[in-house]
Amino acid sequence: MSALPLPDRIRARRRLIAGEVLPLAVILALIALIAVNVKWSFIATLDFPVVWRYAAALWRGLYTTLGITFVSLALGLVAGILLAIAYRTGGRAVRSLVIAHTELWRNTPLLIQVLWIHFALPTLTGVSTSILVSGTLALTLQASAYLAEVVRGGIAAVPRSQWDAAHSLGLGTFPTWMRVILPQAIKLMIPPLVNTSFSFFKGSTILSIIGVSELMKMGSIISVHSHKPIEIFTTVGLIYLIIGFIFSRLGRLVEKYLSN
Amino acid sequence: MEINLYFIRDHVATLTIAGLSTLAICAAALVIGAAMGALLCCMRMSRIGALNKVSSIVIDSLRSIPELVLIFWLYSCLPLVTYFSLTSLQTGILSLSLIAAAYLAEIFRAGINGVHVGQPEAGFALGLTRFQTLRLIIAPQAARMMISPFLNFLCDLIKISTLLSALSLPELAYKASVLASNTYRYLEIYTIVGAFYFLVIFTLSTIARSYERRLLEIKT
Repeated sequence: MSALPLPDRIRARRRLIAGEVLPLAVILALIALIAVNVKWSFIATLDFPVVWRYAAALWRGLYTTLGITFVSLALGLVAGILLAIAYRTGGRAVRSLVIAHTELWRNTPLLIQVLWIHFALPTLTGVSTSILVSGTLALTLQASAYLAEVVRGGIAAVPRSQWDAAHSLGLGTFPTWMRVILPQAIKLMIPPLVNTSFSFFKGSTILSIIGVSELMKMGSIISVHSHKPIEIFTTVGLIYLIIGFIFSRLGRLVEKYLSN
Repeated sequence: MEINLYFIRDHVATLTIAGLSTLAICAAALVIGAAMGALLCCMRMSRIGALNKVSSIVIDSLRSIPELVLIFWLYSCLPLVTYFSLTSLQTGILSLSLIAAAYLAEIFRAGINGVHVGQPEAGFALGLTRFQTLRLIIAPQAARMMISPFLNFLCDLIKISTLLSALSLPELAYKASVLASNTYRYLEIYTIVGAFYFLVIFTLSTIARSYERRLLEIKT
């Protein structure tokens, strides 16, 4: 900046002031407002080691959360692949059915889906499901819609010329899919797949509303039992943050690995 | 069990009011969240390293913490740790605003970064100030690119607003669950409510998709 003539340097400094100082001032004011209003003496009495006493329960909650996420994503992926294949190979009616399925599950809130499956569906079918089954079913159906879209998008993103090339080499349908299309499509699917997986991991907290004892529900039970809501909820939040961090790191690593 | 549609007619008014309050809560959260998001975006694009780092940590944490955990934390822990005493409605709007701030900051940033570098350079070359360049050259182009991600986020926000039923706020999901458990008409009520959410969210996402497609056609 010192190479610039003097008026330019002044102008550059003025720009810096206009662009940086305003947000900085607002942030400092916010921090001051919060700092004045925090009960520091109360924070000094917080007892975080109490969390260890409930570590086993939190582990069970985390285990349930991860289990539900994994099962619903795995089943959803299988259903999503089947839906994507049906969309590609089926006729007009099949296509519109697949579209109706994906739009229906993508455009309604997960909570309403969970409540509908748990409370409304049994009056139609006569079979009542446990909260765990209803919750996992709702997550699976929503996952199937999102993942069908991911799989469809990945296949559609493989250039047309690849199909033509495979065809002109005389490859049959099966080798074309297995050796030409899918290896490229899967590469394109990985980043959205990681994102979707993480949002379902986050979404599994919603099952606590119907009473599934996953991490969030365990947290609220323990916080009532121990009268230590701050320690418990903060720890639960941190567990989700750490796993979120691992997810985003993993996603970036896989992306880097695939691009090489 | 037979489906009773007459029953719905008696509760249309309650459900309509609840639906409108859901939309009002989302609108309030969107306005506050946009202001906070603009601030976060300013920080994220700032040349001061510390501001940049802090805002990226704030944005990432708000985006990766489950919404329900944030809502419960603000509801049960904030009044204990601070002297702020918020009603549950205020807590609900605050938590949605914080979530909106994080997502909108990223949408704003992507929109601004999406404008070609040559554009602000041309602005500076014409002697416009930084603010004028932002207002006259970057903002109109960035706004066009932000429309569809913004509408998509609005869909997500409406979905997230159902979680406020955990605070017993009188929004649609809560009213529906109260009405359903009082009358045992789960099928009718949840179907109607689901249809309401579907109509709103589907309309928004369809507009977003068609706008995105049009933008792509203009570009190519």
